[in-house]
Amino acid sequence: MASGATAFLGSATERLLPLSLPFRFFAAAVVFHMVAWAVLLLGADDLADYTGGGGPVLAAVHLLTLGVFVMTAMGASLQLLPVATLQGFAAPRLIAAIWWLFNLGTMVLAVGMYFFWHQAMAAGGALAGLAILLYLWLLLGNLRRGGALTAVVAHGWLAAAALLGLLVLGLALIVNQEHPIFADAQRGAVSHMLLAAYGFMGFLALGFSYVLVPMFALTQVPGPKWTLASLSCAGLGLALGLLGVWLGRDLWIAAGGVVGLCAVAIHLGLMVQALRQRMRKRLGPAFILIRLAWGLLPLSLVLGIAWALDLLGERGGVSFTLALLAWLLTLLMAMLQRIVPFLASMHAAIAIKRRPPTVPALTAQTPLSIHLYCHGAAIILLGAGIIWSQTLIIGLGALAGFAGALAFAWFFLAAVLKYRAALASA
Amino acid sequence: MYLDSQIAQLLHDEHQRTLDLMNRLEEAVTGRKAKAVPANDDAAATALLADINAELQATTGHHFNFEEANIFPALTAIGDVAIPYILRQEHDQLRNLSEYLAPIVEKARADGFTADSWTEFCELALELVERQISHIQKEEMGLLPTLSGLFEDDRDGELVMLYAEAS
Repeated sequence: MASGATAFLGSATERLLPLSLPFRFFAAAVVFHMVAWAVLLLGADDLADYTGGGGPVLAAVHLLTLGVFVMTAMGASLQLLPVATLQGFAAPRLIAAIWWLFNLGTMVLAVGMYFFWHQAMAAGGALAGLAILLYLWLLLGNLRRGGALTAVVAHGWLAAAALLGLLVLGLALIVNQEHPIFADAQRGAVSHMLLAAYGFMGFLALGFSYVLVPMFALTQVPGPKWTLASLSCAGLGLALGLLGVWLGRDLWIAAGGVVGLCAVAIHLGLMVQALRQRMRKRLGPAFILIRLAWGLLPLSLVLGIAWALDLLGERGGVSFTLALLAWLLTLLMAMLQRIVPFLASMHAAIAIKRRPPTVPALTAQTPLSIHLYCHGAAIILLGAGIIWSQTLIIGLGALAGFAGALAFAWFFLAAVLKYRAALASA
Repeated sequence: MYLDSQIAQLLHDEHQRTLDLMNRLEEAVTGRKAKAVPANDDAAATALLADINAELQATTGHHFNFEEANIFPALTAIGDVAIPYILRQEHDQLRNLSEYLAPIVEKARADGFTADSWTEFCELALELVERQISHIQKEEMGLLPTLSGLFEDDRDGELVMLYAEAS
């Protein structure tokens, strides 16, 4: 195993945050997941031909990106980074404050976006932005001390830079509605989306995958040489793409996508190699979602390249965005269904010495199976609905997504209740 | 897998052997196969029970005792207290679970399974699989890499001999 992995599990128990801290972020993400699908259902009419602007689609996208993606990333990184860098976050009150601010900000921002109400967007953006800045401060403080897991730390640095960039652009886009600053707001919006999805979330997702996938499959952590090569390509690809968007050079955007595909090829090659060498035979249903996500990531890049070269027609942007968001949502749901019972079992092992509950004992499989089918159906139906511009199919897709989100909430609640029952009976 | 330390490599090979057994056990007690009680003349079930019995009776105990007597004190001496503490706690949990499972396995080897004893065996076997895999996961990621450079070459060789003699 890579030397960086040495400390990961060994120091995990020492650096566990109180369970209520990461779990409040995960709980909020579970709730926003349901709300995002419900709001998308309300905006099913607008989705196929959406090209930007306020309304239910914009609100649903931000409920998903801020409410689910960033919320999960905050909860997971606040717990996992101290283990990776061997540096603690000694700020539970600040973390709790970030959670309150970010929740309130996301809700107000989404309401403002839904009704296209500028004041609410500005207030929500400011609250969420403040929470993100405080989180960034914690993140940077932790990253600058370095750590054993070089690849995770390097991905963390680029993710932090992208988060700052997307925050500045996001706030500027809100200001731009009343006081124009952008010559072309569309370019600002696309850059904001690229920085959010491939930048902040993408770098974190790739970085943590190098630790979490080997941990779940019981295999070797990939060495730093190829993980950093993948990261370099990803960073270069994103920079090229952003530059292309800002300067209106479609070929640069496409070139950025191709370099991004190289990064993904290296990343997926490392992941497949790790899985081939795994010591655990059964991977469990979460890996169906992980493999689906691994397919959606290159698909999003291919669609992005085709959109940049104007090969997809009017619905190119929406198709690209669907693949992009579907990749992240699929990966995060897979990781969450493994992390939630894993963290709960680690906490239980501290409190219960004799026979603490195992990960499967804290995992309700039925809701996860329902979620798997509903999530898959939602992506297929949304894709078909967008291609054929059929509101009914899009609506059915959103409904399937909502049903899946309800099932995922059932799984989360069951894990919490099983954990509490185990503590009570100890 | 390549590890610098001979004793780390030996423990890793032991983990691989235990995981192979746990993978077989998991296969036998989950899915469609697990719905029917195995017949008394089921050769695969008989072989699996013999291997599980050997694992519960001696092999794991030897591995655990060796680590507790020779590896953990060396880690504690260099100031690493957390890893030995967690792993020792998990050894105790696995020993405790083995105490429940061993008589069921012995009875099944002698008289076969009844519907009730098969259900009980499946539940305990799955718990054993989960705890063993989780434990090996920690040792593979948290313990074995730290052994490279922990012991001088002579001591490393001595530990390998010590492990082999006690087997």
